[in-house]
Amino acid sequence: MNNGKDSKKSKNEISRRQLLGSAVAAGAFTIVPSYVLGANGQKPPSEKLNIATIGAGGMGRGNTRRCADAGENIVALCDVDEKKGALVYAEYPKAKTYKDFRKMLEMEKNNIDAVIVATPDHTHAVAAMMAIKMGKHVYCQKPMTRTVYEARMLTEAAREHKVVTQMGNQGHSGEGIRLVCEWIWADAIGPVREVHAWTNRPVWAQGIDRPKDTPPVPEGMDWDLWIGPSPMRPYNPAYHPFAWRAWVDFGSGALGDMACHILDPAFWALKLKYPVSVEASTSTRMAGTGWDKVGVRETYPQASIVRYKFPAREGMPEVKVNWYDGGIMPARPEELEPGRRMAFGDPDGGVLFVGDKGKLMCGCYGSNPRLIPEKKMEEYKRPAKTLPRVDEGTDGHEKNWIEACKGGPAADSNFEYSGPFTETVVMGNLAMLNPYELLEWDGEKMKVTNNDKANEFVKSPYREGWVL
Amino acid sequence: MAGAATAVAGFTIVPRHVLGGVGFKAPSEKLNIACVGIGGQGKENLRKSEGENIVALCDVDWEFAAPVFAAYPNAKKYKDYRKMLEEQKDIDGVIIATPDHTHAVIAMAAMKAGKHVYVQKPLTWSIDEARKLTETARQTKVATQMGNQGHSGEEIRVLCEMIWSGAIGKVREVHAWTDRPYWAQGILRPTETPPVPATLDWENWIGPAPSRAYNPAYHPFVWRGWLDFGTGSLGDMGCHIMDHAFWALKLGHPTSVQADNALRCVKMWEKVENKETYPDASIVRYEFPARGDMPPVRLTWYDGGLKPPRPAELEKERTLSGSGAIFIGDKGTIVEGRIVPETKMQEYKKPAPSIPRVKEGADGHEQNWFDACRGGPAACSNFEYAGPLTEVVLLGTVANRIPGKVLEWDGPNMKITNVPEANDLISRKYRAGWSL
Repeated sequence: MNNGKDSKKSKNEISRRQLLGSAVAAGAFTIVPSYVLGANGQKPPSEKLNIATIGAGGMGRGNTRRCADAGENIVALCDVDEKKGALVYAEYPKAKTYKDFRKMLEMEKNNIDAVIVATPDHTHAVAAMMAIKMGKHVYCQKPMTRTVYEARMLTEAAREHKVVTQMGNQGHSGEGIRLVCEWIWADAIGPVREVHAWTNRPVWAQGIDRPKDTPPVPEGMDWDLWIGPSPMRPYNPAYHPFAWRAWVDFGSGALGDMACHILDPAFWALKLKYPVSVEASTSTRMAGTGWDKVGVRETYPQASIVRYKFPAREGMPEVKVNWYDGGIMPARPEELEPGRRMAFGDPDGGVLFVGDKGKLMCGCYGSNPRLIPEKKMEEYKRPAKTLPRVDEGTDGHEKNWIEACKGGPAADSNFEYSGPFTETVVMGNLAMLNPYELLEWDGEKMKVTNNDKANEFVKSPYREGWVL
Repeated sequence: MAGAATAVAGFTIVPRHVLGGVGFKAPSEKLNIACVGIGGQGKENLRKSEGENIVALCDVDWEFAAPVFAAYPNAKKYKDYRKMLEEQKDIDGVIIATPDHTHAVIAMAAMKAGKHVYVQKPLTWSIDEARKLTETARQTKVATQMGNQGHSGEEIRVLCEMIWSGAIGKVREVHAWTDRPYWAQGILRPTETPPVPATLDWENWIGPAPSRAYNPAYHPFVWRGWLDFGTGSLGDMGCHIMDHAFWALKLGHPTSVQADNALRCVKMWEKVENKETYPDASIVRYEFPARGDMPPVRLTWYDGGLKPPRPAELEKERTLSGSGAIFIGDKGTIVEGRIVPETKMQEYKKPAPSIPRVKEGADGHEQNWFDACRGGPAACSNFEYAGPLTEVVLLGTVANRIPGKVLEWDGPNMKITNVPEANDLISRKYRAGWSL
């Protein structure tokens, strides 16, 4: 453990600590290097981590690749779908392969230092929790969990077990989000009272009914494991691969998919935590010749607007944060020059910060922030870069976690930050499932205080045999 | 009132008989009424016309129309409105309640034959058609009315009086919404071609629109979603819901419009472009310039389940209705016709009614037209008013077909000035054999 002290003395480390100082205010970052706390299993920087990936066949493939490229050992790989997994297994012939993450963690418990969780949303929590309880460091794809309750439990467990954590919102390691924070903190646009954020997602079908056909489960696929803690239903390609995002039982919709990236600069720069209220309006889809609504509470809607309200925080005024998806966009600000596209053409989405003294727009991940109109940007004297940068920016997000696993400071989107952030993102889905009602939110208690029905989705019951 | 109404949209206030217009009957005489498109909304208009002589009924679908034919056994039955106008010379007024795409040709033929017309909303399918009907109504001096019956109601009058008397100060922001469509939108053209029912004249149902095979996905009722025939949720409901803003805020032509569409995916990463139908949900943003002492105003339209933000003054336990409008003024907010919060409404003393009321309100909308047909003052939603209102609504429909782009609008010249190809949607080339 003492080996970690060397890295602490680096210049980089000092600047990181400054970063973390301001970040604490923003989102209660853990600033003490984890080895000081006597956390489990921190390796010295000279040693390689042994990493296992759960859900290796999808997003996990890229995460695993970047860890391998950083020189770490990939020792075990797990996917419920042999065929999807096989492509990745071939890249790491030395890694043991599994279908069931529980079996993998049990069998490999003495070989694994850290786990990447990149399964569909509904199994993030159970997989990450088991790893955390075994003292393994965790890199968990975004959204950290499908429900508010799960995010809270993981955050608390990570704290209790002193493991190193990172959510896979890689934009958090990028340059753009830091510029947004520095400019807003330097009063570039005055106090911010209104934020608009949008995405082009879903780019998969939403607002649809449950398929009635029951094709056979593909060879090599363990459907029961794929379902995990969610209610059992027959296999259908409408769920796997990838399209699970649409389904309330498995995914968290366009909001869950993209808000962990797109709202990240708002959450950090505006030091947000829990909203006081949320309301949504959602598109409806009509069946065939009409009069019947399709897909209600089965999938998330095809398009939505979610309107959060956050209380005043640390000298910052109350702020309304509005989310738009499915093709619906906020009103174009008049400061945006004719012909100039929203988020400067970023197809994934963007954010508009409306301050008392100006407006700032950026793309997804906080990328390419600009004051608008461009004339104001050109005149703007940028403040000093006070937030330390992550090497390689967004591409260094896994490495940022690896360094933390080796005793460096907490990873920048560790669960102390990304847990509350995820809670806030996915509680928007309470409104999505209960549209048009003003839902008042007690964040600490994880409770809608004025609508009992909306609390259904704060925590979902698990299928028999599954626990958190 | 007359003064105010003239200022709003140039109401004709001189009783018709003074102008010596065509075919105005004496107040004591019954009108001979014909109706084209009787199976749907026409049925309701006819029910309210029973005090007049219902002399002719026309529908391209005799099965859909059968119960209505049966209800008026003395009326002559037609399938083709052209034949009806040709053969039956005793008609004074024609009610037109066909799908949107045939409003204009029928109303135009009737007006040119000197008939008064009552046309369901939206007045027309295209902006160009609305402009031309309005001009023809002016030339032929027939009595006109659009079927936005709310325009005869109490609510819209009270709203105008409240806003004109400064109840909420100057209005810079309006939100209007509907929960329609109640029918499928955001879908692809059906590929199957079932036989045309024997009772349906499909060629005449298609009318001036491009020809296509019959399918129950279009008729009855569900034509509203299809670009070629209907005008979507906005066309269906905009003439009701934006009517309030149009009158109370004396809107006229907007300077720009921009729409966002809910875009559907059937396959990963493949969005279904709305080349056939309007989208499931949309937002349309209009900018209107200053008018007299009224400041510029942004009107935002929402449909398909999307709704505006809740005004801060709205009591937290309240939700917005399925359809409605919000007026945000410098000094207050009106939600669905009432100041919010409700305590403020209770304290508010409404101004004395200054706009004359229509007898029986919205239920008297047909009668309001009959009175005009007999030489009384112009009906309240005559084309001088309803034409420009429809143009505004349909401009939003155009924007919905080119989502994401700000379209700058030169209203007097009926031209989108910055996106040339959008002008193709202002009018359309009729199928051979059809003209306006």
